[in-house]
Amino acid sequence: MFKKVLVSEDLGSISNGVISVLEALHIDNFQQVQYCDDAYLKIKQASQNGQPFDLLITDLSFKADHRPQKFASGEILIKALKQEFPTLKIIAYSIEDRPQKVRTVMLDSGANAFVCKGRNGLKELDEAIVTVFNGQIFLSSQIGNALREKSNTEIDDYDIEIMQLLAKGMSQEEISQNLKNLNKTPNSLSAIEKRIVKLRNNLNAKNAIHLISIAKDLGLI
Amino acid sequence: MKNLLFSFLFFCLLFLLGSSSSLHAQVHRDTIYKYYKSIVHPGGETTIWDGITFYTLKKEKDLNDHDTLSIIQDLRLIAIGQLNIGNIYDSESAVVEAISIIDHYSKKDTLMDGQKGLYNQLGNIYRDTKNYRKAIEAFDLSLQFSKKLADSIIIINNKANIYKDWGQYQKANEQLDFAYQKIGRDTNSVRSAMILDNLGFVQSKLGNPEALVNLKKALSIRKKYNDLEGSYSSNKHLALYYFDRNDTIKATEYATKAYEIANTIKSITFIEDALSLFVIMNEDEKIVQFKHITDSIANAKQLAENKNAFIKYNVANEKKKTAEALLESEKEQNQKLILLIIAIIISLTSTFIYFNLRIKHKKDKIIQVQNTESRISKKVHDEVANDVYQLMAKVQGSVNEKEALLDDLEKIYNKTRDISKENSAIEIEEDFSAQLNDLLLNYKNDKVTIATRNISKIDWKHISEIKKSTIYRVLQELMTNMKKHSNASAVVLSFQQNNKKISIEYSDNGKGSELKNKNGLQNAENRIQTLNGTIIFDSKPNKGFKAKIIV
Repeated sequence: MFKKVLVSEDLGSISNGVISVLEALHIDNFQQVQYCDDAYLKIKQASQNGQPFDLLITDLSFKADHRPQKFASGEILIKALKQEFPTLKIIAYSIEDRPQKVRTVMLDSGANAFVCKGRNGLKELDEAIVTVFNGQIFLSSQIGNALREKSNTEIDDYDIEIMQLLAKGMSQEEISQNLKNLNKTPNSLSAIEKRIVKLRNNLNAKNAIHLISIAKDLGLI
Repeated sequence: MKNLLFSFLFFCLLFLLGSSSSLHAQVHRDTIYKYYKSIVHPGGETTIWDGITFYTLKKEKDLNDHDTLSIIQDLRLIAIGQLNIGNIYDSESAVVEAISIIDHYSKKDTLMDGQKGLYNQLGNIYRDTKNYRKAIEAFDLSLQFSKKLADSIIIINNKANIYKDWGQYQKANEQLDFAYQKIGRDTNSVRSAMILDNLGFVQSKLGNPEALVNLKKALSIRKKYNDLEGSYSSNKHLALYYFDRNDTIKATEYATKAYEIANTIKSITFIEDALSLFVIMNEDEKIVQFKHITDSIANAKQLAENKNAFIKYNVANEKKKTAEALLESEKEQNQKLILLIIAIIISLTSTFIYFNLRIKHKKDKIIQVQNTESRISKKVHDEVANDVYQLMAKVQGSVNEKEALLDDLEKIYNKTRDISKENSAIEIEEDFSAQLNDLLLNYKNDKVTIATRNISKIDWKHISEIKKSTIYRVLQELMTNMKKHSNASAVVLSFQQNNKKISIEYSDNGKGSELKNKNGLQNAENRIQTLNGTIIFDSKPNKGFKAKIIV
């Protein structure tokens, strides 16, 4: 398990929650800071002293105070640390759950995990620490989709045409034949089948009949 | 002297011929005629000066009306009047002004008669100032514009008179021969008599034997027509003819006749002229010398007067020009002042409008901010405060249900986060369609799917930030609304672009509603209206909910 952990969080009660998780994991060597700049200095100093931190748990947004901060936000801090100390593992622990934010922190800044604060936040943080220690990345369940290849929810003209043919009562074979006659591709049976499955997913339809019913309701065909 | 008188009368005739253009009817005809007469036939109750003043004023008026024909007419009458009272240079300047107006007139071909008359007048003016060369030039020009034979003959006669005055009898003879040829068969007319009389006089000076025949023929024609002034001229010329040939008896005889006619005419000018004949023919050399000397003195006086008049005229002219320049500069200053005032008014008005608009804009902004604030406050009250209050009530009742308490707290927590999200600033990302997809992703779950049409075909890069953030907000509100109320299982958002206009059709298969209250979509409507866009809702119970946004 991680030997030395730094917690960067400006709200004491939340810090306490995090610490309780660390203690549950029997991680005793941890320190707390309240500002990004302090976190950076601590990590740097520890590294120079030959006793580097191996995990940082950080919030993303901090209350501004009278001191101008070199690192204005968590993602900037993460990016800088990841460049300077590539072996340091970092878990972002934030109220944020916007997918684009998650992508920035994970892909651009290079965090190893993104845990959303919430009802299950601490439970997920526990999971995240273990997962990250095992060399994997972790995302809270509500943002689980954020890093996936964009799920294809776009309905194109080809989809509309297939649904129109379905609405006319054609079977998949007939649709394939029809498209072949019109020289439109793809027109293989399997491609059409795939399309219909995708459409059923996109419109939450149980079967082809349901699909056409919904498409009609929504004015697609 | 007599010749002078004659050419003036001929000029009047010519003038009447030339002035076929109607007298202007703006002033009463009688009034105009009164002043017209005062100039053309002086001696009535209205003086020439009255006439000149009248026509000077009339000219100003006609100048304002741009009535070129009337202006020329006015100037000609002014010229005649000025010449009559001896203001030669004023007369000349009036004629010159009229000529230059005609020269700049687009239809000057129609004013040949006028030009003819004006140049003739100019010739007469130069004759008065004894500027013979210029007089000949003027008459030549007048002749160019003369289209009528009768007019041409009079002008040629005038020209011959100049040569006669000048002492160039040979040239005068040539002109008169030419004029007589022009008369052709009409040899018994008054006009013919005039030419013959002049011709005879010139011939007598040149020693031509035909002189006497011509003089006598002229006299007989004039007698026939009872032309008193003509007869006077003929008798005078015959008297001079015989006097030159030392036939004193016959000379005195004709001079007496001339004197009698002059008395019949009752014109002092004629009588004076007739008496001067007797002086010339007097045997006493001293009396002749006296006449000679008085004539030279009168001549010299005339020349001096002319010069004096010229100087006076120049001084007056300079004064007039100075006054005009002063007036002009005053006018310019006035114009500048007016422009300045206009500029000040415009700048004041625009400043006023600017500040007014700014104040209005500020007000609008304040109202907007206030609306937003009250909306958020209402939301916090309705959604958060109420729930917290309920929770508090619950906790007071039973203390031990930790899980249920946590559930309630989580709900409240999520609600506050939703409010925060809905009102936090949006950073528009480069890939706006991805950003929208992310937004939609937030609302997707096991129960509802959200599909799009043509979202990636929109050229988001060229759509303004404000439009993009509005679209983002409105879609967010539609989605929140959908999640709260619709129970839909499928939602489709169709995008379309028409130049800069983007239309988005929202459609779900939820339970729909009567569109009575705008249930939270009022805000979306406001947002769209701020960008001059439109949003139309369409829904019925169990028929799903549809919205079309064009922005």
